Amino acid sequence: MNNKHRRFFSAQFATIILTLWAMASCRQSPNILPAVPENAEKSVLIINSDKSVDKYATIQREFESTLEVKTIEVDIAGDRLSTDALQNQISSVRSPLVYAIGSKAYTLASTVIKNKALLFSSMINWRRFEVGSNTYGIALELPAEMQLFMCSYLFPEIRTLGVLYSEHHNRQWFDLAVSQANEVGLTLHGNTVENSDETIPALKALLPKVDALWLISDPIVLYNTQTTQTIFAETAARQKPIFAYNTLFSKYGAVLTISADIPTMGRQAAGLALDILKQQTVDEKVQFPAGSQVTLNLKKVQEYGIKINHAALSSVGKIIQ
Amino acid sequence: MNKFFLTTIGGYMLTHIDDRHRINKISTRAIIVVCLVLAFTLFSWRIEAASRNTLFFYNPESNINDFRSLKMLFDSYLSSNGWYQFQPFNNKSTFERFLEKRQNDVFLLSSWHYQNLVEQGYSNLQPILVGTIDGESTYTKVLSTKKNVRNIKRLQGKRIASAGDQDYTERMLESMAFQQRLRLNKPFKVLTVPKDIDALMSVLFGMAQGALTARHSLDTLAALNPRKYRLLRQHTESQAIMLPVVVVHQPISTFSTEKLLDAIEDMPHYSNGQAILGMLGLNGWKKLTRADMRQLSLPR
Repeated sequence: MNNKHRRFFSAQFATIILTLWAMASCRQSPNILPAVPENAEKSVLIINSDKSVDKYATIQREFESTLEVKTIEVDIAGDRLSTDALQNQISSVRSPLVYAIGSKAYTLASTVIKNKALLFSSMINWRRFEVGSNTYGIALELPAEMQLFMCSYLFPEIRTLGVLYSEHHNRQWFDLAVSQANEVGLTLHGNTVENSDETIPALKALLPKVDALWLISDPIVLYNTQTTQTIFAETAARQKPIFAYNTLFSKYGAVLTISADIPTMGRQAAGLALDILKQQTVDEKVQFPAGSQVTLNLKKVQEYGIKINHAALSSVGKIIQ
Repeated sequence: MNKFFLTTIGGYMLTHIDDRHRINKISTRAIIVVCLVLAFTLFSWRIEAASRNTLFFYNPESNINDFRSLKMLFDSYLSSNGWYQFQPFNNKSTFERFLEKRQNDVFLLSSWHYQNLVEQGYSNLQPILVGTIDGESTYTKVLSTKKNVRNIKRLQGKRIASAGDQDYTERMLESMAFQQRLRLNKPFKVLTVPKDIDALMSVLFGMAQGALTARHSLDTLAALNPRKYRLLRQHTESQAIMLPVVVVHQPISTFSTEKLLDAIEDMPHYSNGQAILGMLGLNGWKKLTRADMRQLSLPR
């Protein structure tokens, strides 16, 4: 074969390869609608706010592995569709139940879905959102009793907790928490904060009266990163431990964090989904998360000389040393 | 050792090299020396790793999801006692493969798993220590509900929160039904949660209709929150279950294995040992007695 023939066949070969590649790419295009499974009546449409976020991927994975039903997936961030295209895609799917993971997914789903059951999870403060009669969910926030129980169980000598809160956001919550704390032998002392400038003075007034600070989710108290860092610095200077509601506070130096366990939420959502699909009675439409993830900073415990109940360590999922 | 080797060979070569072919010979011989040193070092590491006694762990009944913390604590404790390490598993068959191969190592596993292995034919496995909680080597499981139910059969089809996995929980509930001479004909819906207190809270807050937990977890709730405890009804209690056991292959042929067993038994005397025991849900160890062996249904 001479050079001219070789070049011709090489070009032909390259063309075929390119064509095959282009066809394969088209098959994976996010703009093509997913096939509707045969048993659409028994399927669940999962709308994930962003599957690249680890906690959202984990909860979806646990949900799917527990659920014995076919699922169809829409990843809002990953699919990169316009809002209209997403709405059209969701509307065209015949699943009787939609599971929305994250606030973005829920906002989209609740706009589009009118006559189907809607299940949500992974939304911060779900009460901010409109919830219809056909809506079910798993809250992201653990009951205060669970957090108070773990404090009392792990640290038998800590008897008083300080709480900073804003009246507007957390007055009712605090009043209830006082009686819940009494149940486990703890006393709560609270200082209210009306604006972010008052946070540190309120903290300085509170700390001498209490054994530890209980950091709660309050947008006025935790106004910005700087305020949060100052809270931790002031508390550390007085060698008072901080108990917090989210594991991200471990990096600031929280001694104990108690948050909802993500994989359990996925399993819990799957159980709820099965009950909905089988049209079984559901007592609690929006449930507290069933599992908790406890992280203990043993290094800080030793640094502050806090007595710890070793028997309670079996309830700790992660220890920082 | 390796530096001496390199220096000796390198010194010999440098004093006996012909100047005309100096560069080629040095390159070739240097490569040979480096290869020999690397091979020797790798071989040494393999011998070292193989000879390092290990405590292997597998227990699906434990509430431990993240082994990193447990491994850190264990490795720190064990290394202060000798050349030892801790290796946890979350896969039964992988654990059993190591159990078969590693004759001089020590294994920590649940008592039912040990019984299961003996039934499979692992006849030379000998339990040496059993975990204890306040001096007791056994515990029981209790099924609690918020509402009054006549018996366990009434909870069929309902959601039961448990820190054990699906298989373990179903097996335990079947055993409890058998105790009451009841036959189950419908499955339970099992919600696996990280720990016993989560299971109890699930019932208290309506996420589940029943909770299968250890008796001592209920006792803890009773001590810390009597009001919440009084909201629960205890229905069925299992027979006594032996706590996790520490086993070895018999006969024990190395002094280091014996020393590792001693280090495990001594854990309650040290604060880091107490922390490890706490994570395992124990507070001590004891040597197995005849009564314990009978409990395991095996002749001593």
